Amino acid sequence: MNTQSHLNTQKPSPVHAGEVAERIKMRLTKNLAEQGHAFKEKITDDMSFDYIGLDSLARVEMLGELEKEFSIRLDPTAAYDFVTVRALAEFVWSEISGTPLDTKTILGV
Amino acid sequence: MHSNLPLDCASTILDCLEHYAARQADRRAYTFLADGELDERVLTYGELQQRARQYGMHLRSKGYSNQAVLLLFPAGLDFIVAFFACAYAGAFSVPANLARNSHHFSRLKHIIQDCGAKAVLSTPTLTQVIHSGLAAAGLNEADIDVLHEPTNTLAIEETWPLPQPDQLAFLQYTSGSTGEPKGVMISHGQLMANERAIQQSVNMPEHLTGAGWLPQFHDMGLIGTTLQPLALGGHYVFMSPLHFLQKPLRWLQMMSSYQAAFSAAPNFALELCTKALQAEHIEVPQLGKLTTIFCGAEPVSIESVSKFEQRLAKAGLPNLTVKPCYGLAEATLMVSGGLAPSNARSLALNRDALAAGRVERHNSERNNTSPIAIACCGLPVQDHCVRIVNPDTLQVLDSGQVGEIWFSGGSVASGYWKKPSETEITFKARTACGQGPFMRTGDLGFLDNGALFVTGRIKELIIFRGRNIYPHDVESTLTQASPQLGHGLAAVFASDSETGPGVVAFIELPRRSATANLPAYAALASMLRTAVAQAHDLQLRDVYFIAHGKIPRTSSGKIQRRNCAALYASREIDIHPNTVYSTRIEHNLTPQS
Repeated sequence: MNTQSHLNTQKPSPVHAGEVAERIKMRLTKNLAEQGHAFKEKITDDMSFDYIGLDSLARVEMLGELEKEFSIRLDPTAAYDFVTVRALAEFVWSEISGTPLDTKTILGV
Repeated sequence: MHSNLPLDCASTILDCLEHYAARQADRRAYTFLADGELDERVLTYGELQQRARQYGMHLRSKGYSNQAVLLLFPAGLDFIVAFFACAYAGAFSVPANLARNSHHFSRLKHIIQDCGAKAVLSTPTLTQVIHSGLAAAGLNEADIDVLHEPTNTLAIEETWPLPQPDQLAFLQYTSGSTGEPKGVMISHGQLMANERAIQQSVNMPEHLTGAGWLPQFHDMGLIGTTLQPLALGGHYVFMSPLHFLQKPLRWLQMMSSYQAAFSAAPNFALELCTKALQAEHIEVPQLGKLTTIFCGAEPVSIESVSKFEQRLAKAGLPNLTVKPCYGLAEATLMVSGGLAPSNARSLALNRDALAAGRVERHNSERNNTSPIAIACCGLPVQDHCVRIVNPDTLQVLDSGQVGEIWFSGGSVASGYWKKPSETEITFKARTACGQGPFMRTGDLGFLDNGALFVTGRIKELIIFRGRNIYPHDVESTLTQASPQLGHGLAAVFASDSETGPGVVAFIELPRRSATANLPAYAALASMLRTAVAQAHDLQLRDVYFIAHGKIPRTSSGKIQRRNCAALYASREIDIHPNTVYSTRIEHNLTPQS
């Protein structure tokens, strides 16, 4: 747990969505390893949470961690609305920065 | 004992609602925390009665009385209004999990086709999505009406024929992502019998406050937490399960803020809270008003219960608040639970004897193996009967012998919807000496000093975080996921490891499959994992490809999931020549011949 809080306090705030995506990928990789999950591919920005095989608990736990890390509030349905690492990162970044999100581009509609 | 409660003589849940709406119209029946914390949405007894009657009349006018009506809602008050509206309309509701992708809609299609529902009730914002989702799953749009609560108010008819106790209240689907959905038929009378049983099990007081987050379409969420407070003129405060999973301590905060006396949760929820309490320096909310947290829907670990209670003792959580219980949809809900004052909370048993079906206290001087702790699941509910029966000879077994748990009484469901032969087998069982009819639970256990202890199961059901997962459902998702697998065989089973419980799949390759390289198998394994996550909300821990015909099976060809689980647990499967690929070891062991 020490390394956890260390990680939270030491990292500077992200300056763009790309950095958020890096943090999401780091968290996912760490969580999957801790759970002994068989997914061992390198996680990329365009990978979907379905592809990684995350269940609902794993998804909302990740959102809870992101809330803490960035001191923001995220509705737990976000992990279903934003299905790839990139889409979720864009959404989280819009919450951090207060910039509007181009939902249509993110959701691909 | 308690003074007479309206619940004692209520013949349907509407009797309870009508009784309390007439006496306490302005009191809260339900409070939904829309953000899981502070954003209250309130429904009083008067509002619930008014809205449910209006909506019920609307459904009657559309001809849905005596018909199946699917309820498809996000967590919230709208589901509750719709559930009571169906009762007022004399329709039977079919609560279901909200669909999020095409796999879920395909499951809903099977359920709709099985129960013959012509109407789906949802919220105004979701009607369009549901309509197109069902159409995409292959349902004819003209055959299904997607409705929401009417906004215009109709004049209420004075004479209102309320449903009879023997009329169907709802169908609880226990299986059916693919082939054979099974709807458990619960009548109003059976529902009331189980609400009384739950009330009596812990002497639940009138006007109590309950708090919870269990899914409303889940039997424990619906019957245990959502309807029990209403049946007693109480107040139920709740949040979405996702808000709980995101921050488990919200549950404790909610119980504290509303001074709840009662809640219910599966074992994993206690573990999540204990973990969250370890990880954070937080002020633990006061829980002194709690008297009961039913713990069920999955096997109860007495260790998890103790840790949870110890951690929260400082917050005033009274000793023995967590009460392990046992139940299943086929019994409406509760079979045993609550107070068993003359029983230990758990028994330390001899592991080897238990595996052989005998109950022996662990003796550290004589036994070589470590003891196994089995939680006491309380006394069988009042006015019902539990028997332990040898599943093969059908002989009734004595106290202290392990056998199948059989159950009879007013809470037992009427059967499976449109499945007469399966209903006969499960619901009309008789013992060798002719006692019956009993409902066969498929679970193994024993009675000790009158209380029930559940030790395992006969049927190969996987229970994962309180959800029932049917191996054959997941297996058919796997075998149909790719043409490369040519509709072969698969075996899905649960396996506990040091990182917690997990689910593993063995999949047979076709007889003449082209020899593939490592990345090709890895890609196929990924694809299967995706399909299972989408269809079943389940993470596969490991995927194995096994040579054709080499998954263990009986002489009659039935796959032996227990054998598979043993091969996995011992890691024997990792070095087995028939293993072509596994995600655990990540390399081809032997080229396929």
